Amino acid sequence: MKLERLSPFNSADGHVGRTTPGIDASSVVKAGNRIFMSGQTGQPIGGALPDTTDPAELAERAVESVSVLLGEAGATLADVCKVTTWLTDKAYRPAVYNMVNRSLSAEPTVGTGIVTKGLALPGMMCNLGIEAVIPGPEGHKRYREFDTAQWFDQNKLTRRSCMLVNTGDEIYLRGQTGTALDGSQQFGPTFTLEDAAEQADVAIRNAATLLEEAGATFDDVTKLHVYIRDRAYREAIYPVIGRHLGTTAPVSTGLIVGGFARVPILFEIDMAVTLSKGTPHTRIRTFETTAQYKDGQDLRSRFSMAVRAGDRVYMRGQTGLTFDGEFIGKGDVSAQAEQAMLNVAQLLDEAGAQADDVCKVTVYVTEREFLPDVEAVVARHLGQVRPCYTAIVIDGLAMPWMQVEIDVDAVIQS
Amino acid sequence: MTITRFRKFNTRDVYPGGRLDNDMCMAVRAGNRIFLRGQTGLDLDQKMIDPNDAGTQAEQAMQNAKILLEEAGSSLDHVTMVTTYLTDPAYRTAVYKTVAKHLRGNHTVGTGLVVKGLAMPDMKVEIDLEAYIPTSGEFKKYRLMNSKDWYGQADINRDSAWLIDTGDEIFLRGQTGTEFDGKTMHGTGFTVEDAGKQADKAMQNARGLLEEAGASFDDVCRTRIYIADRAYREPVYQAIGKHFGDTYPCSTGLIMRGFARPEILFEIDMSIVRTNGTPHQRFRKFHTDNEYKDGQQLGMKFCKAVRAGNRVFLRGQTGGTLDGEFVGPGDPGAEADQAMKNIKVLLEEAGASLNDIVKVSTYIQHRDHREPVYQQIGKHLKGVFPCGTGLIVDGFAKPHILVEIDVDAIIPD
Repeated sequence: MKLERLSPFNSADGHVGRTTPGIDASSVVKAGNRIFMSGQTGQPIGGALPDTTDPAELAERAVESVSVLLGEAGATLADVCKVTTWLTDKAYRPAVYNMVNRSLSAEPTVGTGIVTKGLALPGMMCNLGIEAVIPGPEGHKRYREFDTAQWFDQNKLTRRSCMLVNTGDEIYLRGQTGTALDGSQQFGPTFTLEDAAEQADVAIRNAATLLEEAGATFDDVTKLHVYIRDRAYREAIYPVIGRHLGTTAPVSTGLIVGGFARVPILFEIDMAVTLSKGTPHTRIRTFETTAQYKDGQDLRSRFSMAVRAGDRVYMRGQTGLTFDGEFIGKGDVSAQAEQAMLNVAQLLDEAGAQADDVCKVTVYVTEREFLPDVEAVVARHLGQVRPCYTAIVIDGLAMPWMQVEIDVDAVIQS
Repeated sequence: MTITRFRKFNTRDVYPGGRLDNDMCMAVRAGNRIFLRGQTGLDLDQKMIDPNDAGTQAEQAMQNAKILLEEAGSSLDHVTMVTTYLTDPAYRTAVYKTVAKHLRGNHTVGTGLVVKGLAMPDMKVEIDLEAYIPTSGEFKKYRLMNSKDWYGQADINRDSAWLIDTGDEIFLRGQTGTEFDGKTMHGTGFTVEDAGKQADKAMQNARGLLEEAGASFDDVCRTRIYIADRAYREPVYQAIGKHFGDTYPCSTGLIMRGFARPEILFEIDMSIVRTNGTPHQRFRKFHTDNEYKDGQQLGMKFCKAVRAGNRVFLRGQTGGTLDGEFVGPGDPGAEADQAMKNIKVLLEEAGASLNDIVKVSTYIQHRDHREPVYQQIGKHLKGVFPCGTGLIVDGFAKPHILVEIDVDAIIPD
């Protein structure tokens, strides 16, 4: 299988006054029936962001782009499994969600919704992260369909959703929070550390229930994205994750974010799941969090640096941390990005992959101002690989001196 | 001292669809001191002028301020301090250029913050102006500069000062870990130690500036401590506490998402009134290590209210009672109600009352909480008509605090 890279662009396109070159990227990378896509914001490929403050207009343009790009990849909107919606203000939620739903009403999707500090350009209001899989003859199986209008406290939104999509190879799980599976109530509503731990406990137990319904287990989990509202909750949440996942050792990316679908949500967890089908995933450089977090954070979790699941390679979000837990480049975002990309190259190699197999790069920076420097480093390392690319300005990372984290998805070509 | 409130209004007429009922005003003149409502792209008829451009919104804000100051018998020439809140650091140059244009020739002190949000999603900037009408001659201004000489700010041509002494109130530039030459920044590695270094430098600067003006930390009434990440709280407060010693200011502490430059991890504002020989009264002194039972080691001595002549400053109030209980966890309305009850008690202990409030600064974590919070403030301040500023911030002293309320009060003669 060879990767197909479609609709090229450069991450500096449309960035007025930008003097440094960005990353040469693709809007879509097709790996067999699996479709990776660069986050869509309403900015046309190679063009300028429309001059509007209407989130619905930007969302409409974003979903138009999604539709066109899926078409180029031989897919349709009905093949979308998961939508990760990044907003720069929670107030944009109804406008963006209702617009997305108009296009994605063909089949229910799972979703994760995050409010973040910013996006690549100041005028951007939403970024749609689309994951799609062209179904085989048996189609995708969708579990626990619902309409968000029936979800408590969300009656202004109408969106066909489900809790889980099983493609036969992968499982897409809705971002889990401390909400009851039937959407009837929110656990841990008083913003304390204990509430954060309770929400984490509910979320992970819900995930276990859902995976079991789909015939999967935590052993199939490859990657976590852990979104946390306030740094103070990290030590409350991670030990709960660690306790539930035991020795599973997925890779993980941990982000401090500005908010979620509803205000009392303190935490959301995304799990990437590839069905192991009897052949356990290869977990590379498994570690205890105490070995990586030498700043005294007590997270009590067991993670890996990379997971290989068939031809898929998942990686821990890479930062200025070396594999030995030494931090390179405090106060120097370029040095941090360089260390992250050196780690990526090493992990790709250890997983049996190479740079040319990279499908998607997601860069999280704590200030938009850091993006040009980070992109210059990524561009130097990836040259003409042309992965999909998404840039997010995030409220915080695992340690306050981390200024950048880089997520890489790869598929080994044969 | 006479207190006059200009352009009174009720918020139910301002925010469309809201169920708010807050008696507010646009400007308060108390003697020669003028407080303004935080100004935004809303014109004086409360219409948003341009949702798409931060520079245009700043222009509107400054035009509003000019009119309001003139109605109060003052002018932009009397502005002493400018606090600028941006919702995105990208708006900085456009906003600062506009502010600089309006204040050309008037060297003001300033503080620049990036906030999570403002009252409405369209608002990109809010500007708080403090003004003081000189009684005789000019104010003494110390260390005049132009921000274009400041590192990383070559495109902003703004006349600034480090300290303005009105003879009564002293306005101090928001202090960070920068040297007076504006070229050297201390603690640039984003570590907790760096945050401590910045706080140490900021406090050294503040002490030096006050000495140049013949004042001291004894004149400091209130601090507002802005921190970029919760992880920096302990080193920052420990450094501040070391310098303040037995000063016992009251304080408000906020987690903010940004400052003038990314490497700035912290900024401190001080409200300063000259004691002129009569020490300020400081009520309910406490040590943070007794107050914060969650293990935070801040090493800081604060108080809950300061009376300086006719002025009353309070510690930022939250859902924590004056006895240290926390009321209404998860309920922003209950927290705001408790905060206002505390404010009433503290003002009365200082010889003031809710009626003497001239400005309310309301900090919340989520815009969704505006309604329950403002309903409570409106209930407690019915008929008072203060001016106000409302910010959405990234956090407070503890993660479960959802609202903090700061008031300025002036007791009329």
